[in-house]
Amino acid sequence: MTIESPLRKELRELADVAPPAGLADRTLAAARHRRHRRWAIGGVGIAAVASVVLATTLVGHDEPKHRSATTPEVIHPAGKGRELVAAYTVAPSRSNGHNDETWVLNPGTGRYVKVSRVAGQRFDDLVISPDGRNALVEVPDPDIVGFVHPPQWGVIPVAALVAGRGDELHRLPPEPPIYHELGAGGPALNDASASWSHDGSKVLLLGSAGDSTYGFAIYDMRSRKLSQIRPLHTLPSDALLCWGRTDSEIALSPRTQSWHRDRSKTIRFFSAKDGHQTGQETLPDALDSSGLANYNAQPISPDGRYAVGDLSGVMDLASHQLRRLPLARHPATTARATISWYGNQHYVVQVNDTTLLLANVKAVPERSMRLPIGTSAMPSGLSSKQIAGLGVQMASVAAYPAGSGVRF
Amino acid sequence: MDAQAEDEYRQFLAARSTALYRAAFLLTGQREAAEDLLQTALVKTIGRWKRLDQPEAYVRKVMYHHQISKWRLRSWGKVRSSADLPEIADAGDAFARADLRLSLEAALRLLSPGQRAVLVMRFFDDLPESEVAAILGVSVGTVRTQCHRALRRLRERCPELTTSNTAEGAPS
Repeated sequence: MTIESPLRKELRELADVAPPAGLADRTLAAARHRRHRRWAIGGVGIAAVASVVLATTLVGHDEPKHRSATTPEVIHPAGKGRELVAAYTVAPSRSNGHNDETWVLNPGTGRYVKVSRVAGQRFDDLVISPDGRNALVEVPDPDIVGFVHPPQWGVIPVAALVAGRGDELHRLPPEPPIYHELGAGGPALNDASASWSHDGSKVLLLGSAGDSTYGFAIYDMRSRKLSQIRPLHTLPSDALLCWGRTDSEIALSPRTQSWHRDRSKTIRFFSAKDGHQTGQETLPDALDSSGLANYNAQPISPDGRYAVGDLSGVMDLASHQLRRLPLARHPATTARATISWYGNQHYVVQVNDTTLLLANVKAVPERSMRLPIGTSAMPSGLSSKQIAGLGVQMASVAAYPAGSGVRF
Repeated sequence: MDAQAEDEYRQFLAARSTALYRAAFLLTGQREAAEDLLQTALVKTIGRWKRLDQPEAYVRKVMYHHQISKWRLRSWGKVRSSADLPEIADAGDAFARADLRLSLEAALRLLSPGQRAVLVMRFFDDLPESEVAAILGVSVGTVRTQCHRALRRLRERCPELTTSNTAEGAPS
């Protein structure tokens, strides 16, 4: 007897299950969250920005100075900070992300340049290295036809990117397979699934070496080689993979979304060299399930002493003491995201709309800045009414001309 | 996603979520994993909604690729020894149907993700080989080979399927 006919019937009976309730609401919310995770987009009030910038007293600081937690100071965008806005994206109000503008600071001219293509292709994601010298871009593989394909990452010097020199794009090897955001049920990397080390010398990627072996691979900028997959056999179904306490260590942390079930609060550390576990830390209960669910930045400080967690606070990894960032002065939006570490003792947070906040590891805000989006300092082709959100990426000022860019 | 597109998306899900969820369930073997898989595919779909002529095809494509390309094997994909398989039920046993289903579930777990995806597309979604090949980005010959191997394994592991009186057209 043929097996096909009974198999059809049995499969139908086996699959006689009802879909979960609220699927539309949850997926729409997750899609919004995903978008925000990439670029920390929030509403933008251009008029308010311009007025605040113009009315602000110019106060520049090479080093952050301690200030009251309740009176963060507004500084001029062209200050003397050690970090600057290396790239930003502006989202129009009616868009699924297809019409976003991406502007990248040209290290040659010190001006922001609108970039939409690399090597003749549109890119989906762009991640500037912390040193501001290189950019990771996610580009479609031109050899793969079809609308579902594994994304391919490439590395290009920022100077070549803004100059349109696509021949300097170095595509990462397609094997072993490197996966983009694996979405709701699978592990993911912070930001766009590819993460720069603090010194910009390596890229951490999530990958699989086979049907059931998952782990990470590291791309070395100097040798231009992608490592083999380092399998992580203890990988939970819901995790965040990021650089660890040093650039030779990987951290695996819980990740949160409303419909995730795994609620482990243990951060595990692994050797970047061979994938062996090198330690673990248990998150305090006060951090709840947010873990290191931190969207745009490397969660762990360059010196490996602190971890920021979903804006709710900063944790001392040695003492496990958690301090929460007071954000009452900044109305909550869905846009909050840690943008970058600012040395070992400070980090930059986009708290709402176009406001950046510099906080120290005691969770004390020290300075704030309104981004001058829509002005000559931070241009956009969209009018204020067309803009629905703004996301920024920070980098060290070292690679850029003196005084250039929006500095913090 | 603007209001009109969101409304279209909600209507699409109201009409097709059951079918999509069932396919996801067959692919993963677990309700929670199916939920995750479908949600993942839907979130990706939302991002491309305005560009999609056939959103259901896209959702299915993402699900199949996502499933094959790795990750959710923890649920279905753990290889079990044949000792885990339930014993074949006697014909006429009141529990034969339940045993058959358990046996089929266990046999499905033994398939590779690719074989399982081909099986689901061919015998649950009733897609022709050419369409399965297009979705998976492989040749029709590969689909046939995968399907043949999957069926052979099911025959070996779940022989009662071929003797079941649940078959359409089987004598009652």
